[in-house]
Amino acid sequence: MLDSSISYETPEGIQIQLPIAGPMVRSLAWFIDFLIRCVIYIMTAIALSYLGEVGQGIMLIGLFFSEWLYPTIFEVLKGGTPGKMLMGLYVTMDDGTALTWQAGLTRNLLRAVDFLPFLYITGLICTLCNRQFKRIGDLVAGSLVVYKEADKQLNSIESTHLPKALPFPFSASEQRTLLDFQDRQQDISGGRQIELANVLTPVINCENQAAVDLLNQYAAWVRGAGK
Amino acid sequence: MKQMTFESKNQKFWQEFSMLLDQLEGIEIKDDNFTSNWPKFPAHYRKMCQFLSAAQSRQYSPILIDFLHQLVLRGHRHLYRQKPAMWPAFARFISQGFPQALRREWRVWLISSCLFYIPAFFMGLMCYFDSEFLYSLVTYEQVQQVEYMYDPSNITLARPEGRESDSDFMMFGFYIFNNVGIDFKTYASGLLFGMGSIFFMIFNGLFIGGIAGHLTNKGYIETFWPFVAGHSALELTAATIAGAAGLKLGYSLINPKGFTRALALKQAGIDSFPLICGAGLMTFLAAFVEGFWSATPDIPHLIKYSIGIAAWLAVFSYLLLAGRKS
Repeated sequence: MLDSSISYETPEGIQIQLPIAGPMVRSLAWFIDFLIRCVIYIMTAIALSYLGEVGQGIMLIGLFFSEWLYPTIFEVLKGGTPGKMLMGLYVTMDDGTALTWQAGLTRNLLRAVDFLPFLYITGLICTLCNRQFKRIGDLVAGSLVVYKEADKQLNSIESTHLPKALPFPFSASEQRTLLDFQDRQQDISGGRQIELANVLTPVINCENQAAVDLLNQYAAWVRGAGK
Repeated sequence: MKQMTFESKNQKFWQEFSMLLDQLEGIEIKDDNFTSNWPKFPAHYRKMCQFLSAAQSRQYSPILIDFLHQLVLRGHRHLYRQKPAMWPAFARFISQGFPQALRREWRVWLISSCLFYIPAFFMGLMCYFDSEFLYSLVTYEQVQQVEYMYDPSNITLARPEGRESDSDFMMFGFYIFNNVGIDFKTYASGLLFGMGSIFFMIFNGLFIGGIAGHLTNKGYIETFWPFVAGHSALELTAATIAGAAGLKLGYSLINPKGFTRALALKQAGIDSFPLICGAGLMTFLAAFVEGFWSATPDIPHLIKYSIGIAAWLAVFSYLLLAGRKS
């Protein structure tokens, strides 16, 4: 599989998969948080300007909290900052359990180093240097930023194709490839679909559009629990 | 067992488990069912793990496996979450955890204290004997500003910083934003092989010592020393502790002691965490003292000095004695 999941073995002896989020989606999430904070700063600055020096004091305390503690509080209580939640991400410990206060604080206090020399250059280089896309703060805290998957349902997808039984048992990863092929059809051109389906011509004995259709029927069968 | 039989036989259990998770995560309201099902959560979770591994080994469809995997993942997050009782943990941290952790790391604390106090002492002496020496470190405008703040002839109604009482709160906010922020930056920059922490410790030592020496040389003793006496114990000690935490991080990269650097860094993060939390809390307290006590006028200097000395004694006896076994 061409994705960046890592697997962790739980005490029950099963593997859980954690799909790791890369630097691009994380910087977008950071940027959304940055915008949210800017809007809040401007609004509170206007409101507090009526309070004179007391207002300035409140503003400075607020700045302190939003700079150092805003991400921690959201990540520990809600799983992610508003920006991360919008991008479908959440922060978790290395072993897939919920983020602890200690780890949340550590990873966010160390933001100051990841930010150096400007705009998270150090953090970016660090994420590209390890398999789990961890910035320095994540390495020290033992935390991961992962995708929150959409709610999975059984038999929820209505297939437009007639299910057709597989001619012989497919392995789990082969079945998954079939499903991925169907799921991604909206994103790939007809020519490319045919090209991909033709790879299987020696096995399924048909080619071009017929092969695409046949694969879709097999995929529908895999989806539809028709066994 | 055919997949269809497997599904129809167990689907009800999966739905109940999913419902229980929703309630645990706060998506659904906790009803009477919850109170009766909740104690069975660990057993149900382990049963879900069995379903998942059965589905995987029997090569059931990926759709079913993904569905079960998601339920197991959500259950895993809940069963193995570390959720200590917040307030008892916090109280234990203050009464024992922080001073114990600091004494465990006394070597880095000693080093960071030396990095801070030795430059401060020498810069203070130099500036005391040479009124021009401070300009080698601090710009002319900054010196002017500091001199203005503590100039006795400027002070209206003996307010040490020559400021209105309204601005006490503003300064309080500034102390929190600035001073606690410096602690955190000192800590984080320790990751640069300790260089950042070393720089912050030496620079702040030179700066604070220099200002103190310079103002004493100028004869602003009556305004400067009573002002700083009260919060100095908390603030300076906290600064050295933050430096120690940073040095701990940096040292783990230089000498990982047989671990991989990633692992050594992770352990150093755990070891240094109580130090930086304690330092942040101490600086937070210092901001209160600095904002609302140090700046209060009309208090005899003798009292301010006594409180200052008492604070030094209190801080050190807390850090050195609290949480000892006997």
